[in-house]
Amino acid sequence: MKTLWLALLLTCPSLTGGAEPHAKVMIFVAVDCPIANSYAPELNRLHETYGGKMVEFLLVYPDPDLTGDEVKKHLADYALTLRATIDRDHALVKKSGVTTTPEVAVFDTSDAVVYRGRIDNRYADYGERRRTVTEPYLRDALDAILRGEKPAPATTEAIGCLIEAIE
Amino acid sequence: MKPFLLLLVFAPLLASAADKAVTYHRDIAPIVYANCTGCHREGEAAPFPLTDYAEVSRKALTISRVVNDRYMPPWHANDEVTDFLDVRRLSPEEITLIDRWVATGKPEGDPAEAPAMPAFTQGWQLGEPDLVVKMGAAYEVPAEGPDIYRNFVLPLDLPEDKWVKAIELRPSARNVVHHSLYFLDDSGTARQLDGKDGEPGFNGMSFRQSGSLGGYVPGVSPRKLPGDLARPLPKGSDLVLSTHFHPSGKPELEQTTVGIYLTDTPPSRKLEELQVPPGFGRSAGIDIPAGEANFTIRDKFKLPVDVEAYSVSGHAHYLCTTMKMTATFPDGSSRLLLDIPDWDLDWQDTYFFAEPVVLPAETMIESVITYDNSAGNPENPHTPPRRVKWGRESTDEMGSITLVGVALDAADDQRLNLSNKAQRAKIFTQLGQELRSGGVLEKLPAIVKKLDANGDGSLEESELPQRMRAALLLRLDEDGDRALNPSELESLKDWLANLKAERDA
Repeated sequence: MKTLWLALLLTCPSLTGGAEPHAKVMIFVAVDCPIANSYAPELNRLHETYGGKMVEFLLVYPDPDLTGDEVKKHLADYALTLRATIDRDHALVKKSGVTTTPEVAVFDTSDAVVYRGRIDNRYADYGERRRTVTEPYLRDALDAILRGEKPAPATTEAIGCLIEAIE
Repeated sequence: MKPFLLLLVFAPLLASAADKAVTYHRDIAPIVYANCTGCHREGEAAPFPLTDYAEVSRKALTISRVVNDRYMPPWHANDEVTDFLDVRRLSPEEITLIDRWVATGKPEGDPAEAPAMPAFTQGWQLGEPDLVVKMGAAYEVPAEGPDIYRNFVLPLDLPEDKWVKAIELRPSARNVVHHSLYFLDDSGTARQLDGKDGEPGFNGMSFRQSGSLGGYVPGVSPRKLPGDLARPLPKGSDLVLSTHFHPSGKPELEQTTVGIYLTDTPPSRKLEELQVPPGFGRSAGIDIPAGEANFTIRDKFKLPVDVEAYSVSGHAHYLCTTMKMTATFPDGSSRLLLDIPDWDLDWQDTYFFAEPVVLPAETMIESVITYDNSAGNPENPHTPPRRVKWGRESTDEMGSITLVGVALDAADDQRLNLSNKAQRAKIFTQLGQELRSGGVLEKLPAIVKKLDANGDGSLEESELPQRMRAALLLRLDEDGDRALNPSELESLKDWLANLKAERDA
């Protein structure tokens, strides 16, 4: 697991230019979760907006059965520009405390989770989609961190496909 | 038998039932096969397959969550009051079994106890159709954004009248095609609108529907109409698919194929669509103040003859919350024909009665439809809420329930048809009220002059106010040229004069 993470870190040039980022964001997704997939364009926009502001993004597939080729295909299908890793042993799931895809965990410089939950409130429930997002939780959390503040709320309930425990 | 003896006899049985582990093959597979696999399999609409232990086990937590939430299987009608065909709803016992299976570590069990996988038909569900048509060009659904409603014209070019027994839709991008309604257009207006904005198809419902052939929702099996019943498909009609798309996160190309099952024989009885209120609620006074959380419309229709009803379906948009259709019989007793306690535009099913429902003459059919236009309704398309009126865009509202059936006695066909037409005429009463309240009669010559952009003395379709276009043409365009010529405008004047006389009287 660690080696895969390292390999990805080494092969992809860091956007933060070697300096310590202000925040690291792990975005947990699945290749076949419709709610997670519907966020693909927003994930690219987040990456574009905050990548240049010393925020690091990592797409995490918490699925032990997934192959690297399947991830590559998924990234290509949805034109995702973020770095990605497969969390086969759920080390990142445990570290983040997430339960769902899509769900995000934001780490501060001391590697503590300062925001965990949904990306925004587009989905009010299963099958209930807002036309207009009124609570951009992840953006608000990142803006707070960049202002030197603590994100509030610190947690929200994610809506999507539940991450299956590994045996 | 004494109580304690009963206990002695049954206690071991009870204990063994409770102790028995819930296994996939014995307990879960039958539920999944009967309720999920129809859509959750290769080539079908659902996002991932659920056909075997590995696939179901991989999604077990999600399955448990969405079945408890009643999001899946998708079924919105209350089937405790009305028996329907193809009910996709789990019993509380089935949900408990799924929860126990997940809580006890998803045991696989003995494959020998598994039921046989149902024989799902690949491709056309009713066999090779008599007529297969495909969209001329693919329509690109963008990666994200609000839902899209788009109409596509499929010319059928039939040289003679036919009758439709069933219709089946095969989308090319099933994950974005949410549902589709089938309309007919014999006027060529849909063809004229097609592609005008540079993309295949057109937006809005401003073409004249000359007929309807039902619709497609994932999970509903296409079925042939019972007996010799069939819907008319007059020669020269175009098929218009009115398709609802959900963007999926990546651009998708949709090029739908439609299979039509035909017969040459006209049915012995005419199928009537009794829409209450008519015109998708055009006449029902849908005008919902911003912030109003409980707005209700009602409409009634008294059956003039004995009717045998086969199906019921509702139509409304995002603000609608509940829908109910009640039949009150001549003896004062009543029964619910449709009860949707939690309306969801995404699942606009046609509900087929398990057995045709016979409704005696003089039965009163009543629809009650409610709306929530408050900020507390997450599906409210407006943030903040705005006043919403009846209209053809998905951000406007509509509301109606359609009961499909026939006169029980073929000799009554005509009477049922006339009553249905009179019911539809309510649209014109409403239109008349709007026209006379604006003092239109007095100002008519000036209004016509203003609307007549090309100054030819006639009002072509494009010159008519959009909100009234369809109703005005339906009522006044006697020669069917999609324009109101001077003599037809004279009829409009007479009509308005009559309305004024009625009011003054």
